[in-house]
This record gives sequence, structure tokens and C-alpha cells, in this order.
Amino acid sequence: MTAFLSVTELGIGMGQDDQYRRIIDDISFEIGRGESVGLIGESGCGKSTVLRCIAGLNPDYDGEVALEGVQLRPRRRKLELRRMQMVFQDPYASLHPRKMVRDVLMEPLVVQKMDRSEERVSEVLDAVGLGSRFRYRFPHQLSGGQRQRVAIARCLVTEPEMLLLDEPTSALDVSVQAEILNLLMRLRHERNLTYLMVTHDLAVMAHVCSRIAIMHDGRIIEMISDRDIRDGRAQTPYGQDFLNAYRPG
Amino acid sequence: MDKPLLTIEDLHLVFGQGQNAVHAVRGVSFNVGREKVGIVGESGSGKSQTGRAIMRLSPSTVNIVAKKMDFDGIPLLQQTERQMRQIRGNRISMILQDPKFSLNPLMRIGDQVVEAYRVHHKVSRREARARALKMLDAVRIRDCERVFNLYPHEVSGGMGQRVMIAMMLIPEPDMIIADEPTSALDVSVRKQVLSVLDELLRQRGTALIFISHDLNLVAEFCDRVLVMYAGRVVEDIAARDLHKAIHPYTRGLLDSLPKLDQPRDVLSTLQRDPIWRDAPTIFHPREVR
Repeated sequence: MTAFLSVTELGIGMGQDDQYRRIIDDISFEIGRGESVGLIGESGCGKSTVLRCIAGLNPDYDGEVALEGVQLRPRRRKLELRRMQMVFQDPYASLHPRKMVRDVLMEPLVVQKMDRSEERVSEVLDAVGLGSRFRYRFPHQLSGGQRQRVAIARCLVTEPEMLLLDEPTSALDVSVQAEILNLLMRLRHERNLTYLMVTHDLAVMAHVCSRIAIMHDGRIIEMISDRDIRDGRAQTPYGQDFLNAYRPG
Repeated sequence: MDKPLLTIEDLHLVFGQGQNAVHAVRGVSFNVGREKVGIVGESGSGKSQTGRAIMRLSPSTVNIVAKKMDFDGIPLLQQTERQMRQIRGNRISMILQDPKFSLNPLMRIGDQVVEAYRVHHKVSRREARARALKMLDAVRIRDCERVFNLYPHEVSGGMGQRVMIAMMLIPEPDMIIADEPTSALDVSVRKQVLSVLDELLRQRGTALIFISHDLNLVAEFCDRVLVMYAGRVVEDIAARDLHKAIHPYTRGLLDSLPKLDQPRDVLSTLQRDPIWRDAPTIFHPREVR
């Protein structure tokens, strides 16, 4: 059986001549359909860059990204983009301040030439627990948690198979974080979504993901399970130090 | 317990006037001795505004009313702006969230630390420089001669925040208000910055008000925790007893955190009860030290 997403020897370099540096290097992993995988590491280790490469936001990478065995070109085609969507960290920055919720949700539908757009907008707003009365609101009329729900709705409206989550709850209050995490878990169950998530919060990571890659200096140094995170157990010395440093208490 | 350093009784902050008035802080009372007090709450609960009101840094549109707001016997609300300048920085200072925004980008780091000291102490340039270097060393900046001459964009977030701490501690204040001092930092750097802060506070006996949304962090770092909800303090509890908190709001916050030792399929979410808005503060008895 082929994995849903497979990443092979992914790398990206920046700078020229003697300034040249590999930001991420030789990253390979696979994710099965419906699985949740996490990336953790210190700030600056390249976790978000990996996500951006997979999403197609960083086209000048080397290596391979394949969906269900079919290799994707660095410049993604529209249909490929539709299958993977990304949720960003800061819901205050990721929504256009002068577009109403309806317009934010309509735009991907127009780009992807999808039918039944009005119905789809209502459906997706219901799915994220907002309801269609929110369609004529501007982002400044929403709370942080509501904005993140809109951002998730924006991803879901194209009916993707995979979500790339870049610190989806770290800008939110803990009470709101629980609501968003519950929403993400419910949606994964209902729609059989595949998640790749970046977060620095080990408890959130263990809650959502079953396999977690520890990154250091642009490389994946080991793959551990949520059980390992809960027990604070890693194979490599760096992984062990990392878990010790990041564990609360 | 000895005489409190800061006494606040029935503090109210009202933004705007008439129909649009927003009552952001509604009757907050607490004392701070020479201890570390944490204020936690969600965004919009009034915790930052309380911190700012103590420094009299609220925007001019805010109406501050309090029965009493005394710092070391000085009624803060009755001070003139000139008198306040003698208190700000010198007696009470403030550490803000993000060093990227709170350091002057056009001034060398060392000069900013020197300025912070020379505003309040008449000393020669050379002596101030020596003190600034010593202070940078105290916040565990290696190679402080080099860092002294750098600009804020040339240092990392963690180092920037340690520079902030150096700036705020060099006039030797009696109290520090830290508003989310580590939220912009990476988790591993966070511990390092907090241990530097803790060590320096302990050496000098400086009081601390630590404002944060992170319950676990506050419980770990502070002696006492005030939980704020909708502009009021709903619970006042010793940090090590936080798990024994009884207010449903505090419990709700604690329960909504995913926990490493208790895997769960669905996280419990906070069910807000309108009576919390006006319920009296729950005080927990504190043992006499």
C-alpha cells in the first residue's frame, strides 16, 4: 500500500556561494491516510519551512513530495493545491481585514471553479461550529477563536484531504485552544483528514498526533510516538535533552 | 506578614464615556508584599490594564478610580506626572512582551542600559558604563563588551529579553511588573530567561507582578496567583495549591489544558456562567510565614 503523503530527501538551500546554507536537509517521511504526524523542534530548525514546501508555498526545493504515489511538481497545479490546505498560526494576520467571512470563503471556490458556492459556504460554516449567520461579518467583528474557525473553514471549503497546521492554537487562550483542538479532532474523524502539525506544546502534540518527528538543524533526527512524548522518552541524546527542556514542570 | 509594598483597593478602569463606556476592570483589590504574584486570565480579562494602571500608563481616555492605590505609602493616583517619573523605572519598572518592540532600534544596547541608570542616578558616564556591563553580565550575557555595542536587531529574542531585564533592574526598583515577559520566546529560552529573572529578584528582594495567560508557567514561577475574569479577581490562591482551586472558572481553565499524563479523546471546554461576573473573590487562607 502506498502512503498518502511521502516526502523523500526534501531539502532547501538559501544564500549564494560561501553564504550558502541548507535550511532543511534530507527530510524523508511518510504519512498514511487519516494519520496525524507532528513536527517539533527549537525555533529556527526548519519545521515551518517543511510545511511550506509541502504546501507548495516554497517551490524551489529539491527532493520529492508525492501524494498517493504521484509525484508533485514544485509548482503545484490547481487540483493538487486543492487537496492540501494550510492553517496558519495567527488568525489576526491570516484573514484579510477588509473582506467579509463570505468573501474569504468564496475566493477558493472561485479559483477552484467549484459549484454550489453559496451552499458550500453555509455548510462549511456549520461544520466549524459558527453557523451561516457569520457570513456577513468582518474579521474585526470576530474573536480570536472565531477567526481561527474561519481560517479552518477557509481550508475545508475546497474539500481537502490533508491539513497542514502551523501552530494552530498557540495564539489563542487555553479555553479557546481546547475548543479548536476538539474541532480539529472532530473534523478529522468526520472527513478522514490527514494532519501534519507543527507546535512547540508537547501536550498539544501528544493530544493530536500519533507519530512525532523531532527536528534539529534542518534534519529529522528521530521519529517517536505520542506514548514516548507522554513518558518523556527519546532514543537520541538530543531528542532526550529536547524533551526534558520542553516538558512543563 | 510584613507590611505590603503595594495595596490596591477597589480599582475600576473605565474606557470611553457614556453609552460606549467599557468597564474593563471592575473592583480589583489585592496586596503585594516582597513576593512573586502572578495574574492570569484570558485576553480581555483586564490583567494587562491593571498592570498598566499601577504605573499610571493607561491611555488618557481611561478613567481610573480606586479607593486606595498605595505603593510604599505613596498614593499613586494623587501623584503629579513629574512625581510619577521619579517612581517609574526607579521604584517600579515594567518588562514588556516582545523585546523587538520594546527596545529602541536606533540605539546601541549598552547605551539603553546606561540611559536607564543615568535617568535616576547622578553618576559619571564611565561609572554608568561599568555598572551596565556588570548588569549585562548578571543577566548571563557572555561577552558583554561586544553585546554592549550591538543594536537590538543583532541579538536573538532571548538575549533581547535579558537586555530588557537588565535595563529594568539596573535602577534597582522595589517592584517589577512583567507583562507576558516570555510569550514571544522559544520554550527552551523561556526557562533560561525566567531563571535569570528569579535569581536577580531573590538577590535583591524585589517584588514581582507577573502577568500571563499561561497557568502552568505562573504556578511554577510565582508564590501566589490571582485569577482574573471579566475585570475582577475571582480567585486568590497560593501557587502550589493551584490544583486545589475551587472557582469553576479556574477549574475550567485547568481542565481545558491537554495533559501529558492524562490522555483524553475530547478536551473539556469552558462553560461560562453569567454569575461569575459578579461573584465575590474566593480567598484561600495563606499560612503565616
